Amino acid sequence: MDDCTDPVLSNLLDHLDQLQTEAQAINDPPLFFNFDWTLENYAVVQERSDYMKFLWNSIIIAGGSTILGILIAIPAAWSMAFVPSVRTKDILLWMLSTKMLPAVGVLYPISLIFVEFNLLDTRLGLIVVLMLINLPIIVWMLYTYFREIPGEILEAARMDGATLRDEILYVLTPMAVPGIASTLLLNFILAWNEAFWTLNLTAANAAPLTAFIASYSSPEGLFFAKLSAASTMAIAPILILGWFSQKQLVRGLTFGAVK
Amino acid sequence: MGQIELKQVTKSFGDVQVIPPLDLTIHDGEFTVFVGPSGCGKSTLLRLIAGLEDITTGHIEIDGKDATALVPAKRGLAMVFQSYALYPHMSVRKNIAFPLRMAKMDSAEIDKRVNAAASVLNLTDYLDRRPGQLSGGQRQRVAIGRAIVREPAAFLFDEPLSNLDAALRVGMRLEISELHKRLETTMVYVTHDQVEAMTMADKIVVLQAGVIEQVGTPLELYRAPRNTFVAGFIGSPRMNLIEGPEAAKHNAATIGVRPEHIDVVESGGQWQGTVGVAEHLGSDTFFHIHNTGLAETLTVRAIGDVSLQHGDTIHLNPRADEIHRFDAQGLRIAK
Repeated sequence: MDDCTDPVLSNLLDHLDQLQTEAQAINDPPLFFNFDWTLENYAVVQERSDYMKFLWNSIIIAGGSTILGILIAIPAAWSMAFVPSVRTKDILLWMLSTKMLPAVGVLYPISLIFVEFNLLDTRLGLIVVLMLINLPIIVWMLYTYFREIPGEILEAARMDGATLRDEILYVLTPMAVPGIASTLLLNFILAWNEAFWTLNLTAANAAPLTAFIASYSSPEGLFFAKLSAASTMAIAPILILGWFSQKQLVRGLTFGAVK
Repeated sequence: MGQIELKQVTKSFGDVQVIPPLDLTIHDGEFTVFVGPSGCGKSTLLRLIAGLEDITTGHIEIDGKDATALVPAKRGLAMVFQSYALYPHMSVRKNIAFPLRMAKMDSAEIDKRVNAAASVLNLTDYLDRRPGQLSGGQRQRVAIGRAIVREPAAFLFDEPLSNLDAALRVGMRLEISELHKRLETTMVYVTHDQVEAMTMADKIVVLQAGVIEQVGTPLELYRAPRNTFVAGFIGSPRMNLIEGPEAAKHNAATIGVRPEHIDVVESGGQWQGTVGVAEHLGSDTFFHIHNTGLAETLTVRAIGDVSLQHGDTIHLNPRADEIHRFDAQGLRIAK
């Protein structure tokens, strides 16, 4: 099936592979539905590596980095949206420009920092790195949503005796819930799928599902069926989450664009 | 208590000074209206009092205490915004209770005050609704409710009625005036509508380009405008301002006559012209008159329904004792 060049077809085949035996999976021509269906690969994958451990790491790393990012980004986006300075636009663009930097360009310094602070192969280290990587996107998205909120309402809160904390906690955040929810979702997905840093900075303890999949792409043999089973297991949680929240996500993403 | 004093207050945005040094005292219990054309700095002045904008130089005192550096929350003032600025995610009850919650008042007292405010403002039936489910007038009442529960030193209103339709505006105008009579609290009210200013104010402050043109009671401003700007701004329809030889006859650079102080006569009037547009309101008729040789258009108010049509010649007599005279700088010349 390696000679299959159509990406859509090849993808479909990949996901059929998980239900085939290894022999069937590399059959040429590929087998579509006329094979003996089997769940054996899932059992083997689960037996060979503890799926739950990787899943748990993924949840903690993606969830932790997203929540930490939101907590830092809300005050940042608040100040940029409601009390902008002459430099605000430049700062926003500069933040975005960091997304254009190839990650490998900072691998060396970040690895050194990780070694120095004993963060290699820890969840905390990954949470911090992924948070920093996605922070520009979080700030940008929140900034866009916050700009839609009339400043007069925040001024009313100030007149009503609200401190800055009260204003953000009781007025701004509840009003921005759709925006914050879609920011949370998108960043959770980004962090979940992040592979460069998770592969380079983890070994066994903190490895998330991306590392779990990668461990099945072995140079010493063809395990298409098991690789397919592993990748399905890795994307299943986020696929289900995405399915249930797609409406919210689309509404959030187009919130600022379409009035 | 709520005396507000502005001492040599200025405000600049960057290099642009929008309010040159300004002194003003608003006495306790007074209903003061800031009026002026859009962009005259009246809203900025209100926001300076509120603390939503920092003043550039000068001092603001509230009840004799320097409030210049105080944040809005510490000034003891309540504000009603043009857009109502209600919290859309809270019920009416929570909206009104918000300032009390921020003041950490105990919940029994909050309930008592919210219910009292709601009954004053006829909002009792709507307490559990969201602002989105209310009409414009109801929303404005919620905004007022949110302001009165705190028992502030003074109320600040920033064009609160301009989002309402004409009928509702008249009703709310009365309600706010009645509220002021009942509470006897200082109110500062910003509007561009001189009718609102005339009907509601104890004291009107007329502003132009950040400068106070005149301060006085509505009738003082009507009877003795200090300059041509105030003369043209206060009164509806606006005063006729006439320059040239006719003004020179009265030893002035400009004379002003209000439309209601010009009589329409059958013939032999002091002034003549042709009727352009006649607006028949039933109780009055407004004539817009051209070709008088005095000003481009002259506006005249006749009592009752006067049957003159477009193109008819009209004879007019201004009342001599109602003519205002202004000098070349536009300042009033005393009689």
